[in-house]
Amino acid sequence: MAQHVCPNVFVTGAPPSDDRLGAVSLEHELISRALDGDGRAFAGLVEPHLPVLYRIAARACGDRALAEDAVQEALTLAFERLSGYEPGTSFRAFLAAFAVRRAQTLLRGERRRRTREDASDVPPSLPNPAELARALQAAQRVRDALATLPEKRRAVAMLRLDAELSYAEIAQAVGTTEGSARVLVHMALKELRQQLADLVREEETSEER
Amino acid sequence: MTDLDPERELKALFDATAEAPTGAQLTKLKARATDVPGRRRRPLWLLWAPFLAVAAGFFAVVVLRGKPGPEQAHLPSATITASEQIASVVTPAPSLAPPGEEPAGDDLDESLAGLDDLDDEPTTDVLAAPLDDADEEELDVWLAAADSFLEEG
Repeated sequence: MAQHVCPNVFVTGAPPSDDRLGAVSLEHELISRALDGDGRAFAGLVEPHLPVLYRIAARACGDRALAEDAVQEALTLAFERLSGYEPGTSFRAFLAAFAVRRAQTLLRGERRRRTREDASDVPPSLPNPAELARALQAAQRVRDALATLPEKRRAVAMLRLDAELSYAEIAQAVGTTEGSARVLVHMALKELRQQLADLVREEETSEER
Repeated sequence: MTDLDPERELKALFDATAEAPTGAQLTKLKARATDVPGRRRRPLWLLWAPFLAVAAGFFAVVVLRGKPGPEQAHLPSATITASEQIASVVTPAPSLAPPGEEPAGDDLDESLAGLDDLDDEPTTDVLAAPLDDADEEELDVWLAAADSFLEEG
């Protein structure tokens, strides 16, 4: 049975449909054109995945400009490795892996820079309404909780919750087996759940209202 | 609570705190993606190209300066020969009028009047100054040397 995890992504399963075959052939054509230096083809190839890549990068970095840079660098790396992409596998997972790695690398550099420049990292004043302030604080709490995880667990948590990848795709992205990916995700989510229990409850309450 | 519950709850929290790109950001990212194939990274050996070029240039200069060229061997020596010195002394001063034009009539008178005016000005012409005895003796020595050189040559 075909496993349809998220939009445009089939992982494994029964004979592919005509739509799937068409998508694969279009993807293949765009890849070959991009490898020939066609910028539009490359943009067309990555455009459907840009929101997810940005979401991952923004989650990891917590900074818009840094997230944009991370996405751009991830795209550059993805292009350089494009000839190694195996058609038929998840292109989203292929891209997301680069986005996670680049975002984490840029964040490390940014932290070092901030530590050097200013030890007293005062949170920015928010002239926005209280709800926005709470949302920003919640986002920061999530980032802090992610930061306490080991790098691989942090990566799989973002790939699962932000990029909505399947276990097979996560395994492809981080270079492990599907079983290992499943265990990594389980451990990461368990730790996050413990750290963010109060926020999860608040979120549930607000959803019920 | 099942295993899926923590994931569902966390997913809701992640969705609520996720940052979605604005339209302008997406446009910018797409534009950057379009530029990516045109901005391939330079191969590593190209990073060394400027240093190699400088080294090659330096090597070429060292090699070329080590060997005297054929034209360098035939260059005239810096010492001035006696005949050249004599020629420089006896070279007549250029005439005031262009060659082939003779001042005539009133023009000649005006030219001479102009020369009279020039007499009043201090001159720096070496040939105009009278030769003293020492200069004459030196000139005789040079002339004798030139004659002997011509005879020998």
